[in-house]
Amino acid sequence: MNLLPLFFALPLAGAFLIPILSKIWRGFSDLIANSITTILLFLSFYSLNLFEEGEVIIYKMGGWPPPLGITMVYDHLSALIVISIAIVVFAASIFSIRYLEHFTGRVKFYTLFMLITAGMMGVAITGDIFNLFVFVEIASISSYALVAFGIEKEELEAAFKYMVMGEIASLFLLFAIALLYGRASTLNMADLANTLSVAGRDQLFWFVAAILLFSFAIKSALFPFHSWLPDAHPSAPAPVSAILSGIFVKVLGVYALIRLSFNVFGLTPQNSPIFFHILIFLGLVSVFFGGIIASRQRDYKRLLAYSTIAQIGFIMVGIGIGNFWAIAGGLFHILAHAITKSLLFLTSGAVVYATGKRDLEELAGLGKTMGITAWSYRLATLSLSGLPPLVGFFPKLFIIIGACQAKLYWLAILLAILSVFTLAYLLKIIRKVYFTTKEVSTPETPFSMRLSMLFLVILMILFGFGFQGLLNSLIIPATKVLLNGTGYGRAILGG
Amino acid sequence: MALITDLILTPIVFGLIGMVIKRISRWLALISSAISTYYSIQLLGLLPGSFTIRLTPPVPIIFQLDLLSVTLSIATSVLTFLVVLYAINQKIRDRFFVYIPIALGISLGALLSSDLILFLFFWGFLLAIVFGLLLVGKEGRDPSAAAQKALFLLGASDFAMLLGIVLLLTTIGIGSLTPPFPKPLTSPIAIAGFILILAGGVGKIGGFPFHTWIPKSADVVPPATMAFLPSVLDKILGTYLLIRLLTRIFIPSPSIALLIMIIGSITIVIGVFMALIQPNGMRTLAYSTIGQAGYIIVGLGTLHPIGIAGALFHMFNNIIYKTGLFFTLGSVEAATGRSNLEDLGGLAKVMPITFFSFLISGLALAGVPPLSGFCSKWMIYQAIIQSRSHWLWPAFLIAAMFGSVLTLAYILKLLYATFLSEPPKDLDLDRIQEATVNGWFPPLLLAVGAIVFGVFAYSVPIARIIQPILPTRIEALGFWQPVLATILLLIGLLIGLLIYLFGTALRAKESKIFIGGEEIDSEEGRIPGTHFYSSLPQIYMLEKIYTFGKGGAFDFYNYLVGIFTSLGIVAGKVIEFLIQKFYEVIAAIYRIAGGVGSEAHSGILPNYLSWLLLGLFFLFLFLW
Repeated sequence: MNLLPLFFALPLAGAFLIPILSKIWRGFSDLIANSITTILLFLSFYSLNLFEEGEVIIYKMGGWPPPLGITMVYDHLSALIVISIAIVVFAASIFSIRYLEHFTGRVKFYTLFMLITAGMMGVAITGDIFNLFVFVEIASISSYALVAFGIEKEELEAAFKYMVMGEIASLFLLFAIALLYGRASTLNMADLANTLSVAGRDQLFWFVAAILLFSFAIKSALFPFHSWLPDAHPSAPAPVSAILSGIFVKVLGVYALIRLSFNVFGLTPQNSPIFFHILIFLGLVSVFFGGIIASRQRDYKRLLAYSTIAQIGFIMVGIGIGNFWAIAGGLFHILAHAITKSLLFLTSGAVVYATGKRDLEELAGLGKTMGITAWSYRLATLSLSGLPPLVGFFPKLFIIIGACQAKLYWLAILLAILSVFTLAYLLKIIRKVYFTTKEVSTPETPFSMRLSMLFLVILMILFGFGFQGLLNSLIIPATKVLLNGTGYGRAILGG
Repeated sequence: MALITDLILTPIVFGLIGMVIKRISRWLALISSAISTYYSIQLLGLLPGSFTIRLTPPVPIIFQLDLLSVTLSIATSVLTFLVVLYAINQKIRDRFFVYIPIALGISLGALLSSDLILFLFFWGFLLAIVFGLLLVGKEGRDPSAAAQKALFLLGASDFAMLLGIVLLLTTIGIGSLTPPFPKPLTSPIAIAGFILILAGGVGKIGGFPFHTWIPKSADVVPPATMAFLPSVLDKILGTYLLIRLLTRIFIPSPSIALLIMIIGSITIVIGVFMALIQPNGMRTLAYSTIGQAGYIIVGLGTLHPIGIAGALFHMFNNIIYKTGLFFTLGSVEAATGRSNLEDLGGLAKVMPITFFSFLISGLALAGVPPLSGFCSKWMIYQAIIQSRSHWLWPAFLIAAMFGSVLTLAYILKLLYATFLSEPPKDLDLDRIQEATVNGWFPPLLLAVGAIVFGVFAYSVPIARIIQPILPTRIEALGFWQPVLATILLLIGLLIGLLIYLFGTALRAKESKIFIGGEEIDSEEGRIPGTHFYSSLPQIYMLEKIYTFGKGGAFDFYNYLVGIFTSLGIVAGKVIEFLIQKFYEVIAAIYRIAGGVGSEAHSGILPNYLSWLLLGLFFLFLFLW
């Protein structure tokens, strides 16, 4: 049996069931949402066993054969993204159960939550470029609503700005798709890959590539296209911030970009050096400014949001270097950062839940009373700044190895220095919020919140110690998918 | 094989248990360090060997034993045991006893691992534990600033090392700390990798320019932490890495040797001159730790067999007497509750055993023959002279020798100010007691060690420990026979004692001091040791002190000492100033870029949209 449609059909079904069934009993919203995210988590790991390295699972919607109908494609790259989504969404939904006590409209929240999940899952497994656009829009529009969920002045303003910029990106994506369709008369990504590789590269090809890069650079918040992120991500409720920063920008921005540029457009560092140099440049600028501006923030969540910009920059640099280890590092960092950053945002949620404050100057001494939260934050900090046994170390190591192999020694040194920044700005929160020896009497967060943080902490340690297994079963096959280039088209269409 | 995993895991597991059950963590730390000592001695039976442990199929974990790593493991375990024994009934937070065994286990792992990646793993882990250990402050002190400084400096040097190891792995294909043959340093990439790893080693050992966290931590963390971290663990690991790097992985070139010797000399000068003017015993010892690291670095930098042997010997000596010194000053602090030299004095009467230990360890540190510090410094001097690798060698020799002289100066200051001077009025000597058994025994043992390593330098440490580790034979070193010298010295002391007893001592009589008929308040007449070198930059003061001196030659000597001292202070200040400026420049870049960036995020949508447009324009420019 082909399980592929379940990844987006389940949350879509949830999105429709929750508002209806909640009329009968309010508890259904929590129950349905959490059981769907749990099923997704198991499903994503289970489906990894279903196929070998280099294989592709294809699902034909309505039974139409590939160039005609919409296909769903599941290879190791999609699997990596789906697993990352499932992990973050699972943790966030458990966290939401108690966190939503601060908000009204629990049913609406879960409906949007399910929609954003469905959108992201759809982006990760679709094999059709217009379908990709549809899923991007589903995810984006629900994220605008979720950012505005607090309906205070700030949230509405942030959501409005986010929506304007996000829709500019979406419109340019649609424009690019229209141009591609006019050119190749097909919307299937595999077919498109074959057609484009035959047609050769002219002015239109690069025009479309530039528009796509622009669109996805906004979605993945690369400097200077990032300006919506520092407002939008902190404004959302903490579990949503965790999703947005942890995985959303990577699915809609990074994943879509690399899938299209490597597998559909067939770009490689050898045949289009300028494109990859632009990626490295944008990545480095993001790392630099993201890190520096992060260290100046007074707001717990805003600091983390800037940190996200910096970390996406690391991923982009890895992709931009474009050799095996650098790409492996970039992909690994998608997973590692998803776990770590969502954990960091969940700790912010715990602090807000307990104290109602986000300003670092007002918070102090929580390390004693909120032990689990404090330790989660500390471990996540160490992981993100690259301390060896934790998961965050390996991606950066691989990217640096890749830079050395590409003989970009200056880049390797710069990356090593810049990753010290990570420690610098994350330590600020430890110092201000957790370490200060001021007596406070804040209760520890409820059990379900601690559970979701512990889940991520355990994964962080587990993936760190078991990085070799993860590398062999997931990261390396995913890297090979990208390096296979337009071989993607042939793998799906056959011949 | 199982022995090695037991050796590494036992202290870590004991530490983790201690983390859960805080009440017994002190005893767990003691027991686990004792077990480690036992296991690491057992390792001698396995020599020489290399062991591969496969955890998950694709990662082999390779441990390699040779005399160097096993000897250093034994030394680490024994010293850790002494540190825990010393600290066990002191007022230190339980977390200290959780981190200590974990740090021990990790360091043993680093010492025994052969694979560079595995080594890196342990090394990086250690950084986190060191940070945790430094966060355990003294009562009422906030160590977070110092710990953060340490984390930055050590983190920077660790990152340099990580980068260097990656370079070696990817370009030259060196994957092991103990490759079969050392490679010549020829390609620029190899040199870059070498220098980056060198930075890691120098940073660990506490050398310039990564040293500034040590004095900053000195008076905010417990003395036991100071005894454990900079004086035992970091010295052993740093020396180990440098020896491996210089003798097993690469054949360094003379210009590299010059670089290392310059770093070492600067470290000596900074350490010694800054130690001289500290008002606080712990800070003095902290700078002293840095200065002694300089000797080790210089010794290694000579690349001469005697120099390397001397450096290794000096490392052993240093951990023995420096730990003893930290212990004794720690006991003083615990007994009196004070650490500033000005508030101390006259403790020799009430803490005789501590005083004796301090005296021996201090004189050994100053390199007074026949105690242990002398012989190793002597070997380093010899190596500098014999290798004569560069025309600058006299400068290195002078730096090392003057360092030694001034070490004696600050040790005498500490000795006088703490134990011999008139106690200040508010210090009630009757209420101060000698440290408890576990407080006085470890330093006493270390003092005895300093005597043994000095008097029997050739027959015990060099012949039994140093020589077997090193591949080349250490030849006879000039005319220095410690046993004979000791006997002569003892005879001299005996004669002196006899003269004292039958000469002046019986005739001396104490009387009160009157000036102008007024009885002087004892507080006014008191000279605390801190004033010893406060006038150093003013050379004419030195002349006054020595007016009873004997003729022109001696005055000339004073003059020379004065010139060098002031030069050294100026150099020390200038270097500190330059480092400070460097930090400030980095901070300024950080601040300005951050300020501009923050300003630019005005939150105004049209501005943001114009950024998008600009970005789109450039994308078109480059791609289309």
